[in-house]
Amino acid sequence: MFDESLVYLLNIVSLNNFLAMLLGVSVGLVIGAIPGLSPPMAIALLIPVSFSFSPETALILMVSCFAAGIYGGSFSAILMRAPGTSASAASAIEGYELTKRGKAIEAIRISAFASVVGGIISGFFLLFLSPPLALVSLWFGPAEYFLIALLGLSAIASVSFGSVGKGLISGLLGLCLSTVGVDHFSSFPRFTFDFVGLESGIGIMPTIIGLFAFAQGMQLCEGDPHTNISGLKKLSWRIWPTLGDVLPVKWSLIRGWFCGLVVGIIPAAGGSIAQWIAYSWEIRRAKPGDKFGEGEIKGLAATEASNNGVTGTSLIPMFVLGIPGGISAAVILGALTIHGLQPGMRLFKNHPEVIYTIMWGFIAANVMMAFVAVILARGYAYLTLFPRGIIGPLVIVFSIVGVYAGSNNVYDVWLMMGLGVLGYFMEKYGFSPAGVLLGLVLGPIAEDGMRNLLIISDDQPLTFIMGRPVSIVILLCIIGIIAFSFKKRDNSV
Amino acid sequence: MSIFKSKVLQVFLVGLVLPFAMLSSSVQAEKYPNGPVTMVVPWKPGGGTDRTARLFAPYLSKTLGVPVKVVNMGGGGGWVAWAKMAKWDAKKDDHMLGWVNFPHMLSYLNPKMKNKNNLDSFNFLTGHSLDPCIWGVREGDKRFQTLKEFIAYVKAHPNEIKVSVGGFGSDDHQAVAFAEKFIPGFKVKKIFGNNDAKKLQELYGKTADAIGGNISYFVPHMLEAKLRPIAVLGKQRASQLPTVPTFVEASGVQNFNFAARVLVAAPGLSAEKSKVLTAAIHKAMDTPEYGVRELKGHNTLWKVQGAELKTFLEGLAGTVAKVKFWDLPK
Repeated sequence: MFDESLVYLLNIVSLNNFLAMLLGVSVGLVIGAIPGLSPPMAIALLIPVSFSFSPETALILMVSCFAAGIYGGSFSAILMRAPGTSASAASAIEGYELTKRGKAIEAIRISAFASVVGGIISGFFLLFLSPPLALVSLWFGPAEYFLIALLGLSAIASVSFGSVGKGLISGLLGLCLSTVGVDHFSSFPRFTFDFVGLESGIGIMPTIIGLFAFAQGMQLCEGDPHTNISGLKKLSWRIWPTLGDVLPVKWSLIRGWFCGLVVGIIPAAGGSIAQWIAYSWEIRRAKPGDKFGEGEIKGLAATEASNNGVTGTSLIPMFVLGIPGGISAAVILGALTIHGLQPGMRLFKNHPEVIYTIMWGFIAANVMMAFVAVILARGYAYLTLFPRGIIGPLVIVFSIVGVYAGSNNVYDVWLMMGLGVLGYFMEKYGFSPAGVLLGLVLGPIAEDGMRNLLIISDDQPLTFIMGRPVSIVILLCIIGIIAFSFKKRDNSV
Repeated sequence: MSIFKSKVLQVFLVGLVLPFAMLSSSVQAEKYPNGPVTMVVPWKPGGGTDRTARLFAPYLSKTLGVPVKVVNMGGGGGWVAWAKMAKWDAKKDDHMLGWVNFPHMLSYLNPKMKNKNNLDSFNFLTGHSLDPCIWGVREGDKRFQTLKEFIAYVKAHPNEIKVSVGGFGSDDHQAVAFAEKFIPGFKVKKIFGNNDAKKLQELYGKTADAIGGNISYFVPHMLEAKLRPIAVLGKQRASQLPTVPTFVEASGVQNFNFAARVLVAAPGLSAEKSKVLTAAIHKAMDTPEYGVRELKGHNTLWKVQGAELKTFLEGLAGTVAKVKFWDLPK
């Protein structure tokens, strides 16, 4: 497979493929950076554009847009605390704190390095290890999803800086919000109060924009309107990462990439889970002097490494088994079939020239992303020099426009604003908006997993879990994390 | 006094211009559609209907002669958009088209949903595509490789076999509910809330023993010889799977389930305008290039309109109301 894939490396060197990559990367970065507009939407918009392209060029366009879309979401997260995608929400915490301390360009340097290298490593896993790794995704059933969700929820305690109690209350609030909507198991509308808009539940995007961006807009409207976010008068041109930037955070990067690569293989887990696991892992490993929650570069390195580390491996089950791991992969799968290609091992056997060209294209797109992204991000960073009196209202307006543009649904706008006000007061009184988000994202995974686990195990979940090795490994990880937390607390006492 | 301030002259000029303005507006009114058409997808981007809409829009734009814009309006299991479509104004919203999915839209029959809309709330123009359900098992599963063997095994081992389906009330859940209601002794465990991808993940990973889904998504998996289709839940065999029997052929029980997409316009839209839209939709569906693209996606186009479509939808609603899946034990 190694030799075979190398043969097709030169296929990407064509003007068409280069332009497709450039278009995909640019569209992905811009749409990903706009809160409310998501990478799947960007990819879906490109499908009709790709009709006249050859299958490999069309798919290079899609995968480039996917990789760049995930990274684009981090711009707004770091610079404005307005995550463009759900996979970049954790980056908003440390990233924005760094921006506030006048270190926006430093944050962008690390984020670009972590994302680009994460994407490239993930791309090589996709290229060389797809068939064996695809089988790993089949080890995950309801029991494993339930436990993965629990593992993710264990991050709440870590990301609630200050009071763990308030963090847990925030997480519980998120879990409660996740129960709103039509129940998958009975078709009963739960807590919808006869509002049609609530039947599909509380959306992740309005929640992220509300809790982070809208609340941030409100906060910016306070205080002296003439000051700016970063406290800087001009931005540095030192935009390219150096060894001096990377070496101090090398282990954080490696842990982040590892989390991304592993979680990526699990269908439906994705960047939004990987980044929280990576982030909480970093916090647990905090050394004296580390300032998590106040702009710790190690935290940003880990979250940024993990969310792009996910991208390549999340395409593996889609290409090899026809099982897309997320909405973006599902749209790419749709594009694949429109161009007459069927996913599966037959694709590797019958059309190696297409599949390997696409995979090399994905890696090349990550390289191209490095150049386009850093330049775009520096342009974006100018916003941090604008006075709060302008930026605050702008963030509020863009939050409203972004949510409406993303869903064309006024319910979502009201919901976002309500959650924005909630997020604003939560921040003020030391509660954790990140905890609410984690509860909301992981609640449905845990609930569906648990209820299906009860059905298939005849209400004997523990006996069932003990018969499944992957479940046991995840369970041991959870127990290990809890034990580690107690040990750390005892030591600090 | 300036000549242009003269009232007489003003009236004269208006009188001179007005007939031309009226003529041009009447010419515009005769041409329909005379501006961009918005096509509402009741789901977020990325699903099957979204894919079909985006694939179809450029071809429909050519036959209508105006741009066609795809707008996603997800939420409420489709009902955020459908509630709006039911209230579209025949005059103001005459450039709107919407996608309605069946049997999903029939969730209004579930009394728990407290939904006041019904089939009469919509102006159904034409069917677009129909994707029959299939039941599939793992290729090589020694216990069953045909529907007959599957039913016999389930009857001999009630409540042991696990079938992965979508949400409660989805077309594939209704198909299983229907079998449980009309095949004596047929009782399976249902794993709920899964999209097509997760169903396969559970089947291949041996969490589930069988899946219920729609043909279009699963054809590639049959070609890979991993998924064995045991029955098509259509009235006839599917053209893509000529050797796979229908449910009634293999079991003697009629179990007809599918996912269908129908296009709607504003309720009360004039017959002429509805006719223009329907004709353009059909012409676009007949475009050979479009047909080939849908064929590649294994999507079966379905041009049914008027009384035939109405009878079809009413029949379907009758079946759903009879099965009352919402009252069935899980």
